Amino acid sequence: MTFNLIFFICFSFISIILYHLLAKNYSDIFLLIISAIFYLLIDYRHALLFAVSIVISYYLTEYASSFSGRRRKIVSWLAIIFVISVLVFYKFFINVFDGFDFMADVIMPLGISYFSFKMISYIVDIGLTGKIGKKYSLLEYAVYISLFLQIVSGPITRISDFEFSNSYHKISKDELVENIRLVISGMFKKLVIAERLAVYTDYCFNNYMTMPTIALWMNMFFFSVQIYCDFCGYSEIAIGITRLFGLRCGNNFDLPYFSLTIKEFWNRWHISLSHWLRDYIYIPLGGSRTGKWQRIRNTMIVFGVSGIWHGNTWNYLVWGVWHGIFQSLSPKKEYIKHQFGKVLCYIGTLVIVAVGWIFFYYANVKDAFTYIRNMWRQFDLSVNGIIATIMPFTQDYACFAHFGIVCIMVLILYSYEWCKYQKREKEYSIETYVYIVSIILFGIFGQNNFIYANF
Amino acid sequence: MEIELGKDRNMSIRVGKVLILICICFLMIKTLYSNFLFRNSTYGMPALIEKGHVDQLFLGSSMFRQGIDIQTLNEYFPEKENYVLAYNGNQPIWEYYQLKYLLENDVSIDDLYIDMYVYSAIENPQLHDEKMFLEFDFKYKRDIYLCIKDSLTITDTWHMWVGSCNEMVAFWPIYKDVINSQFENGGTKTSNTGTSKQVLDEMHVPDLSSNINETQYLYLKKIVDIAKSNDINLVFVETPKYVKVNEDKFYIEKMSMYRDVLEEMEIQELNSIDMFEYADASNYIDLIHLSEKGRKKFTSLISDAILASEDNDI
Repeated sequence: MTFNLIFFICFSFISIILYHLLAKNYSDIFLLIISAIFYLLIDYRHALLFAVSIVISYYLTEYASSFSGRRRKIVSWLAIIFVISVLVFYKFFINVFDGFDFMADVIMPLGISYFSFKMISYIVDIGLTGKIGKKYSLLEYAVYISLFLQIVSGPITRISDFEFSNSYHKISKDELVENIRLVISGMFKKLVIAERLAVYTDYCFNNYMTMPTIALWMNMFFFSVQIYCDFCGYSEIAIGITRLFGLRCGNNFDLPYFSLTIKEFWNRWHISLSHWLRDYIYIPLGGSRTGKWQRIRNTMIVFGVSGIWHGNTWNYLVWGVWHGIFQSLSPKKEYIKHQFGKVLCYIGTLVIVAVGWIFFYYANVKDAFTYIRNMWRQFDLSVNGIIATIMPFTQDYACFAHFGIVCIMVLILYSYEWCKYQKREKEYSIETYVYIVSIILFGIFGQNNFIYANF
Repeated sequence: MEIELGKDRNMSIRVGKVLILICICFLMIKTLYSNFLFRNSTYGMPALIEKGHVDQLFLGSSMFRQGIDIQTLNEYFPEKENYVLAYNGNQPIWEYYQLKYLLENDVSIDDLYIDMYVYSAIENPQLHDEKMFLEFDFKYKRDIYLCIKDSLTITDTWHMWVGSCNEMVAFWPIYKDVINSQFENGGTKTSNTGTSKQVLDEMHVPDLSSNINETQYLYLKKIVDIAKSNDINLVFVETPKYVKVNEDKFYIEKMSMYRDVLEEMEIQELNSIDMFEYADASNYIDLIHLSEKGRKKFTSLISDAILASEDNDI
């Protein structure tokens, strides 16, 4: 079975009802069973590998924490190397040996990047540094790693965020309403905006040589909106559902396109990954305490790793380096006080991020550079040029309507998010109702794959 | 403060309920409303129903939309009412329903030209152009659903009854002038330049390995029957395809099968494309769709052939 959003939501809500009806005293076992069922339904071929990885990483960590000093470090590093080896094999060797017969049936296990990062954080916190003194059972660890809500695209939570030992938490009416709202907001972003834009951006990126200049610019910004709505939409759905189970889960996005600097952007975008990279790579390397040049070096290493984590093609490394450079040059937010300066910084940050997404899209870096070069050709503002710009939505005259809907929906989202950013959000707004109506009328239901599920 | 918040909350719930109610009402009257809206359009079925009569109707797929030049046609037949009714990937089954719907809505048709689009004749019944949902009434929409329901998933069914074309209906009052200016009697007026030989040579010929579908065959027969019972002069027309397709062995084989079916039903085919320059890339925008130049050329050829056949009849 392939993963799709409607299946995911239906499966989750049935599980939530059963969980609150039946599993009050066996919450951990219940979560493990439904996570196992979910994994078997979506990716039964790698279920055994997944289970074995959980058991090996758990017992190696347990073994490491029974020692102190050098032996503890050695065993912990063995566990980390084991997890990284599996990740590297699937993420990198598949592409390296692509085309060889013996690799023909090898595909990447579902959510390997996400569960590997969770495993590493557990090994480091419990085994290597002993930062968390608490003991966890294999059952608790397995629930934490395999939680089906976070297996597809994160967020990458920490074990300390979880409440275990069957500490069933009954959710209040307010929590229920708030989290259902979050799920609806995620569905709106994914089904109404991201899915609609995906048709346009795929066409434009694949036919950029023949697209008018204005289409290339529009496509760059549309892709920025698409990837945000796709990933943030999934995260909101996953977080909302996680909380409906009564489990704790922090936000993964915090209005990233309202960032004044790239530094701020990375504090608002894919927060769980940014924090993971900060805690397990940047700080152990010395962070920003060791001097200016070391800070820049560490930043570049972190963004390089972030890029490579996304894939083994050069474009991801270029994307990582691109962000690393601007992160290093990023001024402190507090220095930007003038209103006009703020507007310039908002726009500047958005453009830097949007250009970065071009590298992110193209596996071939040359295509990305040619795309950027073509953005500076002569602008064709004739009627035919404008029609050709909008046409990729549907390839017929319905494209105008699709374009109009996309613009209105993005505007609705922007206005609600701007209110949140300005902290002018009304406690009782009609936001959720607007989202529901939009999903019913303009939602695109189908395969609904997620961009970040590929990582 | 408590009272204020309570008030606000009640108000938002009330507004929300009204929004959802409007949404449900919109969905219920969508088909009726869209039929009403599109009557003033320059293309599509409701506009043709509004006309009430057509001398020459070209019913087919995007091959006809791109292949029949309405202005050339009007120059050749200034005294006649000509109309192009085209839907993407239109199949014989839907062409039958379109014809039946037009006739039931009192549209009189003298000559009916059907697109010999063999790619759609080999397929199982499936919809490629959801605009059809907007142009039929509820009963026909249900008939279409029943024809294809076995192949529909839950999300397809949802899309068909709820999600399809909502943006078009919502935006029609705003963008109707733009669209209407691009069409005349269903035929496109858009100018598009042809492509190059290199681009066409890089394109893959669409797969044609299946045989003519049984359901499509059945509905081809039904088209013939309904045309005969309504005294409509029925003619089938092949649109030109790029030489690469035209020489494809599967294409030749399937077109020959299609012609056998027509022969079996004693239906004439308008042979007008022998003079067409298949290999000239500037006549095409892709392997099967014509450019403005190709469209004008092909329509001239087809018009000459129609005139010649009329002379023969006399």
